[in-house]
Amino acid sequence: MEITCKINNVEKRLVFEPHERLLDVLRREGYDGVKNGCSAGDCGTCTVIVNGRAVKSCLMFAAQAKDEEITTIEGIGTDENPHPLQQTFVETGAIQCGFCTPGMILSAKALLDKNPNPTEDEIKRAIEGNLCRCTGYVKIIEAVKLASMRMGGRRK
Amino acid sequence: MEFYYPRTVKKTVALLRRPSSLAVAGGTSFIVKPRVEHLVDLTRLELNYIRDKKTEVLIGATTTATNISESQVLGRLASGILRAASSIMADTQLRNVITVGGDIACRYIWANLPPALMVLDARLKIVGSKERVIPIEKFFKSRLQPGEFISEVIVPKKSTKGKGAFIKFSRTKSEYSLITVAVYAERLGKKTSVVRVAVSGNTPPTRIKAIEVGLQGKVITEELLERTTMKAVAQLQLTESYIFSEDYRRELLGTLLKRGLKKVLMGG
Ligand SMILES: Cc1cc2nc3c(=O)[nH]c(=O)nc-3n(C[C@H](O)[C@H](O)[C@H](O)COP(=O)(O)OP(=O)(O)OC[C@H]3O[C@@H](n4cnc5c(N)ncnc54)[C@H](O)[C@@H]3O)c2cc1C
Ligand code: FES
Ligand code: FES
Repeated sequence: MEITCKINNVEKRLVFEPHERLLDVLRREGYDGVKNGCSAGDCGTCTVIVNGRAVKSCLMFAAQAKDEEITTIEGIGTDENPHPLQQTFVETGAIQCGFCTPGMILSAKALLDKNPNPTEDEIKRAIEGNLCRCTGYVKIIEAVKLASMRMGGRRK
Repeated sequence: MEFYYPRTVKKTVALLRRPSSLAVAGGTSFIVKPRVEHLVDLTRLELNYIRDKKTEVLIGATTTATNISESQVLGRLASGILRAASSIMADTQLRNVITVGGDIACRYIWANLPPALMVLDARLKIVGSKERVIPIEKFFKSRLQPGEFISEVIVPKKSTKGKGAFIKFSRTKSEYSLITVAVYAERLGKKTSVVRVAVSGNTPPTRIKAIEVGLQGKVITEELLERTTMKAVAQLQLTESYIFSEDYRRELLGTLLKRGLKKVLMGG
């Protein structure tokens, strides 16, 4: 089957089998920042943003993305011009192996886009579906706070 | 296999009536490839709504857990029990897609919303060759006919004026519920006038009538609560678990039930 959708602000035509998951189709199309950690909805490495909401692409049929707007990690910054979250994750040491990072950053981005000045509890809630086996989360929360500040969210 | 995007209820029913077809709402239960020929998307039927009517609150079947957890209207019903049940389900990304219809229809033992809806006396609107409305409890004792699907959850306002509580127990916050407990009660003077209790996790979503009958029309004391709860819990048939022993789960269920009941009936 075939659908159109917008990926990272570019109109796309995707061709796949009806039973295929969005995760596999995105990776095949070259968006390999979308990671396959568990294939069971547990880990959050496959997180993408669909119409402004963070979702897990391993538990979504690609067909469900018809006419929707998808954002992957490839769409939010470049090496020369990283997204503030990408910058602060690097600066605070919120990345070790890096496998959870795209999903973490997209969950954090979905939060900051809606709520520019989140509390620590709101940050924790936004990333509760993203597991990190390296950092212990403290640096990640710090990175999100710092990005929120730099992006203009006021913080007491 | 084919994937369909019907825009009308009529078309959806016709598609679902064919053999080997299955509805897709949030899609989060499809961890393994479904062995069907037709997948029918329910999310383009404009069934994502929460409507505050005079005597009822209507929740469209594809309303997400996130929508429910953020709803002001639902926050006012029975101490916000539906908001509580939907906001401690799975995690942020999953709540963004899990639908109320899906959480009921998947009939999973860990489902949060069915017990919370049961203690509110909620009913389900089911569409198919004809439309019918059934109490949510009846849904769990029956099957849908080919072509049928849940289109709406109806929460009567008169059964939501009292206090409610919802408790979920799991090892980590976002893991599947090991036990859920939902309690609702109304009071008349010193005595209870209505008590409704439902659980899931250890059993399929079910009301616990023995506790309800034991506590209804009574002045609640700690002793009565303890005795009624423990007796009911001892008699419950628990589903098997390969992770936790039955003794542990029975003990835990008793503790959580007492905690929920105390919160609603004794304010603590
Ligand atoms: C890691 C993880 C943890 C979870 N933890 C919890 C938890 O603690 N508590 C909890 O409640 N849930 C939890 N869930 C969610 C739960 O397991 C189900 O996946 C979810 O409730 C299904 O909702 P859905 O909208 O995605 O339905 P779908 O997956 O789209 O559908 C589920 C089933 O219901 C049918 N269906 C869907 N909508 C309708 C309808 N309107 N009428 C008739 N049939 C319909 C479908 O055909 C399918 O068979 C968890 C999920 C995951 C992945
Ligand atoms: S790969 Fe999707 S949650 Fe783990
Ligand atoms: S940095 Fe390794 S899993 Fe998070």
